Amino acid sequence: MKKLRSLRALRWAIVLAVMPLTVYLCAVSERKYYLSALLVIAMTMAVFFLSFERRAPQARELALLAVVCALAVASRVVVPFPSFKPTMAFILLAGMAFGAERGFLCGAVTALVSNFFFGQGPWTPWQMMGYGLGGLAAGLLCRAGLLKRHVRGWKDIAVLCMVGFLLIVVLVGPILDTSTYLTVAIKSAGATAALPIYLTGFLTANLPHAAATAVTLALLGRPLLKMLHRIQTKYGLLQD
Amino acid sequence: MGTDRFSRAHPAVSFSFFAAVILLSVMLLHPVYLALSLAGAAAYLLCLRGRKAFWQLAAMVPLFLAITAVSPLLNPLKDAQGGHVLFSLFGRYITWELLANGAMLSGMFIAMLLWFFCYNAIMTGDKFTALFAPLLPSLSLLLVMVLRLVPAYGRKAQQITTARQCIGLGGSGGTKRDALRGMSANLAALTAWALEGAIVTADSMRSRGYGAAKRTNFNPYRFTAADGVLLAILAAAAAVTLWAGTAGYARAEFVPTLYIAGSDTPLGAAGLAAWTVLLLIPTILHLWEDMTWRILRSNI
Repeated sequence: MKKLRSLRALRWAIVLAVMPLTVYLCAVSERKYYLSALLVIAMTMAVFFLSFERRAPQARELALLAVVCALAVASRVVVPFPSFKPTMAFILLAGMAFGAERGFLCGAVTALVSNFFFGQGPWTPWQMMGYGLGGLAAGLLCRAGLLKRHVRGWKDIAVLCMVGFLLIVVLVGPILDTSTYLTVAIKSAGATAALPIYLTGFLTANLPHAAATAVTLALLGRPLLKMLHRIQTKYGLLQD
Repeated sequence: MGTDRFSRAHPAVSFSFFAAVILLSVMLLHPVYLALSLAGAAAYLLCLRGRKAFWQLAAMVPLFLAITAVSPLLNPLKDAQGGHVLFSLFGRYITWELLANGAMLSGMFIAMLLWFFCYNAIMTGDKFTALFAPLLPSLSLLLVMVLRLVPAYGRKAQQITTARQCIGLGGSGGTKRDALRGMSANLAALTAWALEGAIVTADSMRSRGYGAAKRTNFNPYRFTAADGVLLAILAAAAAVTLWAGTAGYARAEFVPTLYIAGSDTPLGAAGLAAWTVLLLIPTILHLWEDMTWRILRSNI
């Protein structure tokens, strides 16, 4: 009961404090776009986090999510090439196997924890949002039938790699570039600042990230999905 | 970090401090406020890390220059409107004011980075989860579990690599292709082992009564009277700074023409003083304890 009350208090705090604060900052501050973007990120994450709390997850769900998030973080340490990041591949697979909402949760938690090891910074909220939306999108695409839940032939693998690649290039990467854009650009600049920033971000960060994700999905997508499905059917877990 | 007074404060105090300082540093785009923020962050980083901080600070100089130089090129002006033109590029103008604006944005970014360096030293994972456990219990339990599992998986991956080497796989001197194949075998083995481990962990949690009643959480941090005083000073200083900031005393505009707000009225001066106090809280606490310790030791 006490937990529910504190949750309700948190919801009211968002309605009564965060929303007026967003409007106020939009009206007053010099850095209105940056700050209101941060508050929008905070509110989006609050929605997913609160729904997770409300469900009061069982031990098995909690442990399984923890394991997948930890694998996503640890995979970066295991890999022999320093700039090769397989993390997003795990998040996408988690979104596909466990559903869109849990995909978001996995992405956000993975980004947060990975920054406990590699250093928190102004990028943390953006990374949490980007990775979370990546997991969410993978879950939604799976629900829509574009991604197959059971990867069988090479065709399914090719689709999986392509979708993973595109999600990084179109969705996850640009969210991080937006934080750069809002830091460096001034209001009147518009497209003149946007184009070089997003292009540099695409070439230096997003393209290698997307390639690493696609390679990981090609090599490990099928076996990992099979393992996740096996755990789900064996123990009757997270099947929605 | 055990000798730093501020790092022994309640996590709520530390977290509020960093949230207030970082957010205000981003909001108040004024050269004096920004310089104070940079100085405060650098001073505290020196307190925390000693000589190692010099290198971190030195690395910021080229970064500062690079962002300052790139920013005007990203934001060229359509017409110079009374600014001092430095040169023109494809019919667009680069003015001195634009360069100053670039220096401000660059300084703001570096102030943010420096405060995050301090944050990383102070707000460890256990403090973060202890702070959010009452509000989001399931999520912070998830966070604790992940934080504990990551190093464990690193060790397990090392064991898997060793075991593979024992049967002549994935040793040194292979091609890139071998390394990639070794990586996927390693990750697959790790995942299979970890997923079964999740079920074992979950069942043992359940058999120990997880979910049967309200969960208490391990929280070694007590909110003392000193923490209350510190939080009150912090909140008051932040409020006065924000007040002066929204009243226009921390406003500065560079493009198209230069305008920097003065601080010659009582509220302007109060805002500046409050901002200085807020920024120096951890440094003063650190130096105060250092001095007390030296005096006590010299009396022995």
